[in-house]
Amino acid sequence: MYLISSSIVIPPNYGNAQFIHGTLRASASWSDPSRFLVELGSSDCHNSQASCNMNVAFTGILFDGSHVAAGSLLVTATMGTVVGPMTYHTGFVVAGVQLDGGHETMITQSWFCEYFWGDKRKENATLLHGSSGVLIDGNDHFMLDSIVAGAANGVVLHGAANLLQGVHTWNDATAHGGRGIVSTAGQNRFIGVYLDFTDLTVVDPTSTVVADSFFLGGGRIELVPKTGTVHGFDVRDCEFQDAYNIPGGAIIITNRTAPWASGKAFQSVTDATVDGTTVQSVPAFQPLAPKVTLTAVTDATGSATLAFAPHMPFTGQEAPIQSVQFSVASNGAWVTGEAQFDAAALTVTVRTTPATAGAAVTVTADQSKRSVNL
Amino acid sequence: MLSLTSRLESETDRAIFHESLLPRAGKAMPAQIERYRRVMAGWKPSATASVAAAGASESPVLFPSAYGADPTGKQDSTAAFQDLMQDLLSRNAGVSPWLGFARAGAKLTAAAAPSAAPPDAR
Repeated sequence: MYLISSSIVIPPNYGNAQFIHGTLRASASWSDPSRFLVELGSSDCHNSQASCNMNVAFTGILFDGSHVAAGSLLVTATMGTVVGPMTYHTGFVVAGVQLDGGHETMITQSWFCEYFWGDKRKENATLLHGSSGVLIDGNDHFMLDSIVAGAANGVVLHGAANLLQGVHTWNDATAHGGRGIVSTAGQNRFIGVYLDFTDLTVVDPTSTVVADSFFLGGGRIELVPKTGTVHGFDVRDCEFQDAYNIPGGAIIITNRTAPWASGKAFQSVTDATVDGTTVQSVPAFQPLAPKVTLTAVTDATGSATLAFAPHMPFTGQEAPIQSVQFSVASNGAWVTGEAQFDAAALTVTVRTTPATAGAAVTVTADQSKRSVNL
Repeated sequence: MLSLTSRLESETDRAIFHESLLPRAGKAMPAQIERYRRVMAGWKPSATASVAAAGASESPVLFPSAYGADPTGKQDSTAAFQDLMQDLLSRNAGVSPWLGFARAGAKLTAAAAPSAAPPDAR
């Protein structure tokens, strides 16, 4: 274990190095709270890939910022870095690992916690400093099979085309103003992530995929409007369970007052799909999706009105109903049906001819525009 | 250097794999297997050993304690790490000229201009 009081710096245009094994810890006399224990690369990098370091790895190292350094590792304008396996990042104030620019850093099999999991300070929003386990401000990076167990925000993505796979955030921060994963840019993919009592926040979802993921203890998907455009938001085959702490119990919510919100409502919703989700929890916990199927029985007048607003994440003004499919059938009598919808009110009315009470009605309404029918 | 050794071993493995699929004695030998056998016949272990030895000298392991760092964590080791990094960077080999990386052993004070556009520029 080595104490250091200022950053270890790897300047631009160096590569082919591996840092392995041991512990680096910031001393009490750490020189600059804005600096990281190790800093690789520089923004003063001017080639066409904006990447001036390559093939540098950090393996089997415990980094401890001692709550005086900004974090463990700042990687700037670098292509082809590997962080992990078996790196542990603690005592950071800004981020465990921060990626600025560059491409294709792989963070793998690593742990991040500003405070250890048994340290109650991790539940104190002030003491958490607004920290992030991993802060990615660049494109095309990977974070794989890693854990954030204590930080204000688990992983924050300000760049596009990044992949998070097998990332488990149980930083317990949602109740303290933090979040599990935040994405403020498009084309990010979340595969097999585990939001454990924390939210996945997506700002203006664009070409964003959330698949095969698990949301426990009230972990939700939170959609935040900045420009207010949703274009390509695909949630597939996810499980939501035990939303004990969530008023209303919605798995997908909109938040127009989140830190990244502009104050606008959503303006346009295209190609938003929530499909194959499984929900197990208290009765109030329910899926909200832009495309919803409801059932009803016709009343004495032979009609039924189905209200979709409680089941959809966007208001009728933000995303009015775009399309409706329905079926009607009566036990023992021949009936035909007609349907009418109020797009902004998010309601659909079906009536039978001849007017028949007790007919079964099934209606699917979609408040998302569809750019391509596949 | 290790990659060269691995590649040769891999070819050996492939040859063995293909040989396991060979028809038994008396059958014609596939041209591919014949080619692998010719490759392996021309492989000289002494050349590989010299390459590996060169790799060892080009890729040293630097230990902080050798530069005066305190592995017990009681004393500040910043100066030792600065010395280590200076040594590391003076040895560090460049990766690719087209990225503007340094040539092996060059002392860098500023980014070198790229000699050509990267082939996969996006």
